[in-house]
Amino acid sequence: MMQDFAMHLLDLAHNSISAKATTLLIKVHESPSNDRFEISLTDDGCGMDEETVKKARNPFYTSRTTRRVGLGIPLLEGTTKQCAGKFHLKSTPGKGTTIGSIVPYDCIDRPPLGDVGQCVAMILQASPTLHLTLDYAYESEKFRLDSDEIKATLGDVSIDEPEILLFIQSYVQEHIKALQHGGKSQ
Amino acid sequence: MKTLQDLQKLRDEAKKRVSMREGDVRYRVLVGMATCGIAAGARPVLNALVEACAKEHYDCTVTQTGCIGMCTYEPIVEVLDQDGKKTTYIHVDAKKAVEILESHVKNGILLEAYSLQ
Repeated sequence: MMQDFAMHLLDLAHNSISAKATTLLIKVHESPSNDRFEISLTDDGCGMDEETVKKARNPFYTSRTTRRVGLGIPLLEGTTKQCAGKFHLKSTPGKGTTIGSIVPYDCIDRPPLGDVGQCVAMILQASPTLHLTLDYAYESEKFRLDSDEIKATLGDVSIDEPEILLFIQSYVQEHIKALQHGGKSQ
Repeated sequence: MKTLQDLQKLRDEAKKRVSMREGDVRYRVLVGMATCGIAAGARPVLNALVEACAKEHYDCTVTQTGCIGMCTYEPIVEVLDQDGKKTTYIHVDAKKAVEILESHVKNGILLEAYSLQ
């Protein structure tokens, strides 16, 4: 079981990377006033046909050949079910995949959001060429991280240099924390 | 709060350091980051490795790898030397990860207590 949603995000982002995605959008929206907590990932990877989408939700299906189980998607579905939320997975071959979960914010069984900064940094470490966008919102206050913007600032320094990754991690985490505690981003 | 201007300063420092680095690195450090690894706590391990490398500039690269097939031993950290010799460390946590860098990568001493026999 994943302890927090950031772990799900990191895990599912690896699916996008395996699907040869060049762009990945991660959305996180926390809205206590509407009792709503939402995460989703949208990529432009190779996608899946209808049959594969159905199979992907089965823990005993995997596209991998090293072992016979694939738990990433079923674990998110499990977490969603445990909170009586809505799980969605849509995919078009050649276009990409969207996967996500909407759960009640105040559900006692809802895992915390977790360290999204670490999650974003680790995704960029796994795939430095990926165009990653994080859209975070707490109620109506928004924070956005765009990896292309970071790369433009970096010039010829690679985004996966350790100190750059650490910067990204705390940069994201500080902004999220500020929004959660009622401050404004930037 | 950090801003993108802070990133510019960081870039200049990183640039200097990267230009000083020459040739191949001595070790490759791999962290298993499949579902099993992440669920077992590989993320803080990877983060600790990246953090330690940013501070100490060890002679290694840190990369992620998929499932190695030994899910019960996760989090797993593999250290590969230039001859391709592989040491597999199992049940690693953030503290052990830093010890592995200090001992194995910095001083060349294998940590048998943490490795798969």
